[in-house]
Amino acid sequence: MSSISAGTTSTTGLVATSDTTGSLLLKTGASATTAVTIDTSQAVTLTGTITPSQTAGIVGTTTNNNVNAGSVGEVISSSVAVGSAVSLTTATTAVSGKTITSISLTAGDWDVFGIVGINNTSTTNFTSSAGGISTTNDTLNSLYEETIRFAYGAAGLVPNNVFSFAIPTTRVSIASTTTYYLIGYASFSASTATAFGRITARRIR
Amino acid sequence: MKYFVKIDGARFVSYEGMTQEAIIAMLIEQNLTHEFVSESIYQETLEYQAESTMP
Repeated sequence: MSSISAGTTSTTGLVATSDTTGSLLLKTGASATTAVTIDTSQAVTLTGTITPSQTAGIVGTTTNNNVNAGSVGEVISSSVAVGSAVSLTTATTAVSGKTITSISLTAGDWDVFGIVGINNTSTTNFTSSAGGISTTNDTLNSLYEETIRFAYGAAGLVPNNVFSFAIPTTRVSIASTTTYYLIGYASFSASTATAFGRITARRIR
Repeated sequence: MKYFVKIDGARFVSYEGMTQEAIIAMLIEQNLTHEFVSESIYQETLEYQAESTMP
């Protein structure tokens, strides 16, 4: 092992120096490539991969706080309670739903998931219900494999109470800020129906 | 940070993780009127609405 001095190259090619902004640079290799940059706000940028101990891992938070916007683990969500549910009109096409609520996601790689609830009266007769996450207002995703759908037969079903279902995690990879809608959908006759729920996104990468 | 919004003068929606500016821009894009309210007003209203809404 050889020691290094600021701005000088060691016998192994390791050099510690600074740039004009005051950042500390650690360079490695025969061509003295920057491997680590520590700027004046103590932000650290690594050029190569990070390989923590397989058993020690990366330490998570140990209390009930929130990570900064833009960092892995960031959470964005929106909720509509049953008491503030959106009125549904019976669906006229396979995708004609109603926006329950929406969230605005900045560029990045997100996991998005949610829950949709349908409220009704004692006489509302459903022949189908559905829910999902969509990039189009008042419209279900047309991909059946990415929506949750229920069919109740030609005679329909009178649930006579609230029912709800989970919207599974969907990966969202976006290059610019995009709005994602939580959509409720129902085909029904007699009386009324409303939709409520929550949509949540977590920055995964 | 959580925000509570009265939309179109009737429905209440909560948002977490978005800035106030991002919420406003999103709702304007959807042509929805909005009014930010306190958490206590949000909770009180929802409790009242839930009592009269649940079958």
